[in-house]
Amino acid sequence: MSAQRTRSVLVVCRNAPYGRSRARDAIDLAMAFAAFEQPVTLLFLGEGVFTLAGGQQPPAGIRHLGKLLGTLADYGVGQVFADVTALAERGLAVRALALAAEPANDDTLRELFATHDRVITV
Amino acid sequence: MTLHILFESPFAGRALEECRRVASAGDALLLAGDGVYALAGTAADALQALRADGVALFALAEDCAARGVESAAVPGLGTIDYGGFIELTLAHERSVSWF
Amino acid sequence: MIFALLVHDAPVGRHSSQAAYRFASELLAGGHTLFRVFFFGDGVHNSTRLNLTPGNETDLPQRWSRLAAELGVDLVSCVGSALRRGIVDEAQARQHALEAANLRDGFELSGLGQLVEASIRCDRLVVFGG
Repeated sequence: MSAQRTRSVLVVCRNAPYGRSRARDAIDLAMAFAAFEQPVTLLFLGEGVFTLAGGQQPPAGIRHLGKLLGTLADYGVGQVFADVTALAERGLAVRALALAAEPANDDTLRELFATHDRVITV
Repeated sequence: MTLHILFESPFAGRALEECRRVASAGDALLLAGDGVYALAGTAADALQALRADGVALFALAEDCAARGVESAAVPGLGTIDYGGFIELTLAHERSVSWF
Repeated sequence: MIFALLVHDAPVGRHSSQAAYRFASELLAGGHTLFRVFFFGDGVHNSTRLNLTPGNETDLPQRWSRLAAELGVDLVSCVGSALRRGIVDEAQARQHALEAANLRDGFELSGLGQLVEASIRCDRLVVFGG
């Protein structure tokens, strides 16, 4: 059995925030890995970039994911990336996002997928 | 090197397209479940492009058979069973599932 | 090589739990080590004991349970996902005064730390969704 104590994890959110629970699940997973001191990168890919959109106003009883994103750093999820192709396609400006995610072009995406020990898509 | 596992039909969603954007030469792509519909019609062109970029192509034989999908549609594609699926996960450092 | 599996979707209505089960049984037949199967989100529906499956279809909750009984596979359903979806064990049923418990034998409810541990301890993590 491996004695290794940490594995780097790339959590990939590929879903918009309120139609399904998957975006919330991705954020929860990233926070859990960070809480157990695993190096975590959270990537919003494709449709997932809608989770980063500013101006979210969910009704009472629905978890506000825009605000939840603001707590990622408190949990130790330091690295958050957003797929720039998907942002552009959806008319989302990097400066108007609910969280200052690092823009990732396709070269950066390839590197993210090739350098983490684990990739968990949600 | 990464094993990508596609569970979604490319006619139903954009998983294959996103997989293409993040895959590197030396990776492999396994079509499973509705992912085998990537062998149908115009979607096969995307598979050919992946293969030209150095991504090895595989499909689960039983999922092709269940759906009546002809795996010979894309040259160079290997059809495998679950034992082959496990071998692929062993041969690659990580797997990425697309669904 | 040590494997861990993450199962995202329900056993009925979606294909991927069936694929995960096939992968798990083939792994064990091939002499590999399966450290844990972690069921997350709708995946926790694999751990009910109140499903009824027609005789000619595969009863996945029952199959998983048998893997645990016969081969000692560790099956963990995410407690947060499970309680929201009405999958409860005896302890939770008592604690919350629910009228019944329905977690199938061989499964346990626990937190995401079990997935993190599996990620650390395994050589390969394979995710099943869709």
